Amino acid sequence: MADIGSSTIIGLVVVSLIVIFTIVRITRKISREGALLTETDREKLGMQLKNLKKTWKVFRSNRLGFTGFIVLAIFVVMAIFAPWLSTVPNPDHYTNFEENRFVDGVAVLLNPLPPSLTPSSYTGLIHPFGTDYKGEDVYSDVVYGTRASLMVGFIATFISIGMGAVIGLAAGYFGRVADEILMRLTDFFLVLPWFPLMIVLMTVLDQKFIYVILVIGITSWPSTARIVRSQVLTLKERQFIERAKAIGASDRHIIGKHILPNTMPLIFANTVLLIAIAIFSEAFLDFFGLGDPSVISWGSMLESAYSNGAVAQGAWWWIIPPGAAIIILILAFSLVGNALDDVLNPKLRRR
Amino acid sequence: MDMRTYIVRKLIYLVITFFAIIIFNFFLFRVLPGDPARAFIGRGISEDVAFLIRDRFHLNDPWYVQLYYYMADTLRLDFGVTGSLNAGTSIGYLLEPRIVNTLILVGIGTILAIYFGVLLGRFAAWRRGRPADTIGMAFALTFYSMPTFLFALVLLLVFGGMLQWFPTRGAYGSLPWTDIPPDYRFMDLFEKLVSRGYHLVLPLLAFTLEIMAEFALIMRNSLTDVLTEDYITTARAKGLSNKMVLKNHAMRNAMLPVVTVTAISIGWVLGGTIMVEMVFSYEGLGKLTWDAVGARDLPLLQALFLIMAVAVLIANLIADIVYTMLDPRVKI
Repeated sequence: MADIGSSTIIGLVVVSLIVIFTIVRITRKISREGALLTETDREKLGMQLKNLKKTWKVFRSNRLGFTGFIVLAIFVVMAIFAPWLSTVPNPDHYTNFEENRFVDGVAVLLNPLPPSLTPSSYTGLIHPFGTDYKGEDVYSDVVYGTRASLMVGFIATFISIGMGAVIGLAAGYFGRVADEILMRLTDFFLVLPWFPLMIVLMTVLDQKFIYVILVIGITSWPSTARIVRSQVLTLKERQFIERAKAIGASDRHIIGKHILPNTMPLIFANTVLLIAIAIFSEAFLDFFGLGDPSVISWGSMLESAYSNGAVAQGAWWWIIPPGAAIIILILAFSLVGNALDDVLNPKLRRR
Repeated sequence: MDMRTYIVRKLIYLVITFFAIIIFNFFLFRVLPGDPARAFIGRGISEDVAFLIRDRFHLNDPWYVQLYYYMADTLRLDFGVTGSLNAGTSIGYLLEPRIVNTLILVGIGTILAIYFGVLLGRFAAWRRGRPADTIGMAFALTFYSMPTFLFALVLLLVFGGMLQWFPTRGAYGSLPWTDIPPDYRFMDLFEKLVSRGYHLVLPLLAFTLEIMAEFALIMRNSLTDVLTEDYITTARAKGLSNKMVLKNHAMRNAMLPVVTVTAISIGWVLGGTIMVEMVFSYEGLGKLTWDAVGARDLPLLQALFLIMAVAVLIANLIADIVYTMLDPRVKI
């Protein structure tokens, strides 16, 4: 599990950057205004809270989106509490090979075992979803696989949104040459078929979990860049930007205080949809045999099922659970994404 | 802008992008460390031989000379020889039959998917909010969320593995119901077609249903939008029948987003092809990609990537032209 380790390091770096950033902001604020919370801040916070409550209420009224949200919450819980929820403490090292017993001196291959709720006679463990050909518990693998999927989904999307937002902002705000160059670049990457591109990059690189995340992240940014750019272009023509410019606000101030907050809803709704695509891509790469072999994931479960003859043996329990998990997770993200799109971008709200 | 300038401009853009893709493809495979000559021949060759091989493939030259040779060869459609998969086979020779196989699958599949997707979307939009709409959209959304390889795998499991109605691998082969199954090479044309069709059923089903879901979703959303427009109300007020309103007033405008999305989703279509071909061992470009990845055959992979990128480029151009022809606002 060494490569889960390296992505944990990235996570730690990101978290510590956020922490440092927050500390710097707080100290600067205190040195400037003498207090962390002034009266205007309190008012602003109250308004924001009220807005958030309203947004949440609209979101809740969207039945499909809310269902998706609950499903997501279940998956997150599953990922965090995987060791307690699975029947086997460490599915990667645990195998049920004792089940290959000798009957009258002949080895009888009992794996993959069909699902049953009666404990295995040898180990006393229950295999609710059966086992695969190595005797690994399918249920535990599915529970653990949630971790890889969610991790790829969140980190890869973070990378791709970051790149897309920066490029889109720069192109839309500065216009002219920057716009021309950046948009030609975006168009070029948009036209490149990205499934083959991911395959090529993964073949050229090592098969490490961290590379899977990076490759998915850096191949999926162009659509975000396009969306952000078009939003920035319409924002730039609005009056309040002109007014800010008239009182002499710097580019940095305008982008940070006016443009970015106004593109945020769009970016956020797009993020959730991109997560679904990232999870899809991860499963695809794993299934293609380009994932990290040391990480338990749904895609690699399906890959091993496919290449070890699950089809010929009719071992449906080896294919259906990870497959269903992928579908449900992607569906949940799509539902939440569409609902957020409706709530946060009311202009696009469907009639 | 008249049509000709528009197409010429698109063509110029296409040529520029084409060269950009060649250059990108050239550098993409050069980030890999190691000596290609060693990888090609294997270890244990003498320095002299290695030098000769490198010379043969221009590997002793600086990178810009190599780039020149690469571009010149590519423009002459000479993709070189494979690296590790059947080492030394001409790549062009490998590609030819597989391009045909993939075109059969993608061509038939896409046409079916557009036809039925538009039909389903229209059906759902016309009955918006009624059970038929909900069921149709739930169906489409499920397929949309399902990775293609997963659906292909389930089809393979049920109809290939469990029921054994259809073959589980290959693009053609012997037919099980004939007494003495003849080899494919010795079949007459009709038998060849039957054999191909029989092997095509499952891959085509997987491919079509997956792509169809997307078209259905877009068609439905776009048509529900169009149906709330004022000119639809006007058309109804004139006393036109539902069929006439739908055919002459709504569909033409509602089709536009479908064309745009077709252009954007060609990359997805390609991904779907790769997955379907891989699962069903259907000897096309996707299966060849899988084999090339398995053997870590970089020259072959390079050629495959180029072909797929160019295919997407051309498909984009066609979609652009179709769009301008469909859009009633762009009148020439």
